[in-house]
Amino acid sequence: MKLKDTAKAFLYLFPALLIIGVFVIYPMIKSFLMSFYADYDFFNDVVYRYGLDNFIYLWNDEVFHQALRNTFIFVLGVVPISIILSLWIALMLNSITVLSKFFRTVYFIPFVTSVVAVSIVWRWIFHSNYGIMNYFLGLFGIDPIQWLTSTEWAMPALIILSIWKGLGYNIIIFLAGLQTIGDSYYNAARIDGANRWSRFIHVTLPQLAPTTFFITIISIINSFKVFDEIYALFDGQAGPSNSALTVVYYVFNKFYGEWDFGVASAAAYVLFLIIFIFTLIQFYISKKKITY
Amino acid sequence: MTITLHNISMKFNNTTAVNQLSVTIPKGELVSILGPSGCGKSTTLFMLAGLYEPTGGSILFNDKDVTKLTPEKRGIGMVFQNYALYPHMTVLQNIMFPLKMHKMKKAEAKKKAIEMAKLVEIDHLLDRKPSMLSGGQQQRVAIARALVREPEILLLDEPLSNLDARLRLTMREEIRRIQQALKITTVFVTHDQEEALSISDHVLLMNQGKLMQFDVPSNLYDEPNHRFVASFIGSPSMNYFDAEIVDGTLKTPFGYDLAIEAPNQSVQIAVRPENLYLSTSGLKEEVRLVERVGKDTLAVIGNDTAKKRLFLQKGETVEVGQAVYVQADKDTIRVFQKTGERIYIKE
Repeated sequence: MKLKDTAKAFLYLFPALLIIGVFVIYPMIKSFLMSFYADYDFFNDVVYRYGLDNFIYLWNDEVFHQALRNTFIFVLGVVPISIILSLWIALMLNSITVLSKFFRTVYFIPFVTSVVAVSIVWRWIFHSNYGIMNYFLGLFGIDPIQWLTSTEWAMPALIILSIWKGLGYNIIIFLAGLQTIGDSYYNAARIDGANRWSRFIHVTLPQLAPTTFFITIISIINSFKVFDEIYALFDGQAGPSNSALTVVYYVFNKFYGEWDFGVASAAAYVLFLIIFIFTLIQFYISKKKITY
Repeated sequence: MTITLHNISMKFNNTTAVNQLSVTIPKGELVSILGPSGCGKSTTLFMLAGLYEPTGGSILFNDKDVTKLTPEKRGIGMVFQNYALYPHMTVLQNIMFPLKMHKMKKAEAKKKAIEMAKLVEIDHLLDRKPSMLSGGQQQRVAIARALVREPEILLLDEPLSNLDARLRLTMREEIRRIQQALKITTVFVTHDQEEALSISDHVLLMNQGKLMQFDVPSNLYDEPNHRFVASFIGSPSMNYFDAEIVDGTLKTPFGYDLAIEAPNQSVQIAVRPENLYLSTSGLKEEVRLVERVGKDTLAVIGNDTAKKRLFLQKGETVEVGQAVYVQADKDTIRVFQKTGERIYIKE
């Protein structure tokens, strides 16, 4: 009976497993092996030698170091601001009663819009001569900034775009989290003498912790994987003189640009390890902190 | 602290939850707000707490108008129906929270919290999280948290409704014990009349947002001032008999007349099941059902549209289908107008 049930379940799962197997599992294994190809003839698909050469190459490659640096700067720039901003907006949205559906939709639009379309609009916004950004800054007497064409402003421009792009999703998740906090906790806190700020610190934040934890993990993972925004914002480049080059962009360049499959795979696995370690740390912290 | 409600009303959109309620709750008493669900009893409590601002009227604590005061500034303690213990804090942190919010020093706050935990007998659970406590224990923590600042008013919103029957009995005696020990003015919302009648000094009975009767429990049972009160209080419920007032005389169905000062009208006579008894004369009815309720035997008599219930005396037996005569004494009958108001019989 048990065997029969298992067989039946497997039969139902088979189509999905087939697709996942071909497009996810196989490439994962293949790229893992590829990262150890030291001497490879890709015309005939013959591997002459396996080794750590690709990883050693990455260890010494200045460009890869720059990609790592840029990626960390990007993650540090996007994640905290995005979380604080979206929590703040979610709190505001949660407390308005009129047109709340309308405003929620407005904030969610960036998330459902195509990255390419969004980036084209932002290229116009960031345009150094005609862009609305510089126009606004000009109102405050700030000189025009070369957002997309200078090495020091390419990364901030990318970060601003990414924060804006991710807001909608985070806000929706935060709103869902806020709605699970019962009114009675706020009422109890008011009776206990907690003012608005104390209620936020002692009721909202702790009870929102599981939501915040989820958003942090998702945001960090997504930020480490950033690619489309760069590709579209800098017109197929990684920013002026690689100033917005991230690890995924590096992988892309190595793979499609230089056909160096081994190095590309190795870089992808280095990124995987970094994300994996970060996620482990977060799970460890959350186990200690979120305890109810 | 004396609580005075002066004509308070609460409207939500188009519905009036509380309508022109006026009452004075004496200092140091335990007062229950009783009524069917949706009668506005919790709304009244929330207005006392300051969580709702009344749309009309005023609330006074010891002659001080607190109508516009926020809950943070009213200095009251409150226990919620679901206890609302902060799930991420330990029992001790929960009890200390009100003190922390009022900037008490940590050592002193801890001392007070432990003292309070001892009063409600949970001082062995201080390091637990609320999720690790039973319903009764959570209840005690909630009471301790409400009392730790030594408020002059304690509000309880259906505090026993989430407990099982046995625990409910224990906890209501506990609440009474703590209230008596601290002599704190306590307002207790419940839909359970037994709860209200057993532990309260006064009961405030509400229906559809209106005050029906504010009285001591025995009066609520024996001297209801309205047919609603008569019907709501007591189980098995009140029996009603139709009667007529003709020229200052109430013609009872039990075969005797009573002098009464009221215009000619149809009225209803109410008799409690324990005051109705079998007799050789009086009202003739058919026995429909005999059931044993604990130590008593309850007989249901009458027809489908007007059932009456009475308790049989020791030794009496009746058969289903048998015709019996029932009787009620003059001093046990209560007379109500068709509109529900009581007509008092002059002695």
